[in-house]
Amino acid sequence: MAASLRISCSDLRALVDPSGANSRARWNLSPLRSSTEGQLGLPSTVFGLIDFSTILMATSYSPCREVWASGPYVLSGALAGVTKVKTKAREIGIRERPVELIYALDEIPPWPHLLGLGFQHVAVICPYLVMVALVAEAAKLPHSAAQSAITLAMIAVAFMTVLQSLRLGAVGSGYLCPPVVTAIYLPSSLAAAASLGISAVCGMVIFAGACEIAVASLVNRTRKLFPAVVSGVVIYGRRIGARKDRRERVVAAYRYAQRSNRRIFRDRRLHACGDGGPCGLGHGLAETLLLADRDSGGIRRRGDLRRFSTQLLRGLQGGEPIRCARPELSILCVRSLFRRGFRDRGTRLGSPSDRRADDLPADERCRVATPRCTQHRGRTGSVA
Amino acid sequence: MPRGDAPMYATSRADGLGCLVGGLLGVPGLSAAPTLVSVEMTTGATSRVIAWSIAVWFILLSCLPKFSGLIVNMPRPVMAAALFFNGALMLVAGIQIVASRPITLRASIIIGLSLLAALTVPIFPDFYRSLPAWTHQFTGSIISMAVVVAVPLNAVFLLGMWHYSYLRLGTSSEPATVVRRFLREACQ
Repeated sequence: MAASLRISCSDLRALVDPSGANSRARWNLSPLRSSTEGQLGLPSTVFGLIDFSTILMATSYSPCREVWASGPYVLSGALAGVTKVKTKAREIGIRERPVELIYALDEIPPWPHLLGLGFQHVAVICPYLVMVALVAEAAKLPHSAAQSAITLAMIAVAFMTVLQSLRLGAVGSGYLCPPVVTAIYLPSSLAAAASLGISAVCGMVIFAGACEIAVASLVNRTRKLFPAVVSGVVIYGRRIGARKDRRERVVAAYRYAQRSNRRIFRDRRLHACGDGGPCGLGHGLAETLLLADRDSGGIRRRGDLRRFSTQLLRGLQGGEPIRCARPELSILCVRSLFRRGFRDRGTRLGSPSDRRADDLPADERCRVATPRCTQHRGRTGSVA
Repeated sequence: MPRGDAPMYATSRADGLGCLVGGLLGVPGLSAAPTLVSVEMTTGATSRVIAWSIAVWFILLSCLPKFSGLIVNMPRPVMAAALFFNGALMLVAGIQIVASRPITLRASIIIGLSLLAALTVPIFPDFYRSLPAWTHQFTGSIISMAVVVAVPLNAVFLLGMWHYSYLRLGTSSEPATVVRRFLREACQ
């Protein structure tokens, strides 16, 4: 039987004799003893098994309102009038519980309340999904793909909500901290989507997430460099500048990066999708998921899920390309991850309608252009 | 589940991991929302179990294509209203964060100069356009300009900011209260 012992702060205050010179040395345990016996109905022998020293030491560091000593496992059996109790203090912690809270961190609301509270959060999060639609529109995705993107966004939000609520080793806050599709990325995402396609947005976000993971361990050390003043100014400035279209600047920065990183961009094995982004792998996987979901018609029934899985596996295995309305978003770029010799040029500079021939380098123009250009190159080569 | 405050790096790592997964799924970008924190404060419900309820709701909604179609087909004015709502909250959140600490003279200079420098970007675009090309990535937007000015200014003002304090513990009051007050004053 698992028992949870809740001790009020007044009880804990009563434990300490304030008149004593060394308050820790003088504990008046009788209120706690009576409280324990009253709440749990335990004999006094159980009381001694609980490690109260931990509680009391902890209370000396934190003025708490309530202290949980949850998890003392009490295995009691009555045999011939003898009670054997085994108590294990699994974890004893201190947490300050504000009185205004209805359901604190570790409390479990009733089912109706739980569903209602969850729906309330969902209702607040849903307007932020509009940004996904905006980015999809900027990327000129068809209607069905935009719908799939929103579906996947909801799945991502669900994943991150649960991830933040857990404490999986060094990942997760352990608090209710639901995410939203943030507007911080919106202007850059719109510019990247309009210029380079949805794959660039995916790569950008993946890169941002990887950077955040990489610098997470430096957060405590760099807090001095980013105090509240700086953070607030950045957020404030973000809002001020959110409406400004920075498409040209992003494109210029992209071109600049392309020019200055020729060596990296030539290495197609690192950036397999060949669009010059830093995360070819991410682009490919994101497009695989997005397109598999779209081409399978979305996940609505069990059969759709099977079709989605089939499309996904076909894309990842480098089988025949998934039929796609927009060739520049073809799953071929994922195939290139597994076929070293394959190079997809479709995603290099966005959709064919968006890109111009002048955007491509001379050698690339000759490769993807008509046989006439090939002949031209041949003549040029012979002359050279 | 271990109790106690989560280390900052764990929170940040989860945020980054969620963002990465979001990128893999084709989402523009995810981040923890101050709006939802205010919702939790308003409702008084901070139970972590609610996260599972939220996840279940979203999984259910993701299986309804009509719901995602509703968002896709949302009229532009309604989208703009949603963005305006979001922007208003973000604006106020920025001001709240700035004002969450006492605004000293150094903080005043950091805030004032950063915002003024950021506002010069849309006001004097020709000037910044005339600068060398490599500077455009720093001066090209309001946000980058604010960061470029605020972070070095803060670093400069950190010079000579060493604080030495001591605390004498007596028996007249609770040690925890005294220590908490001392740390709060020292960290300001």
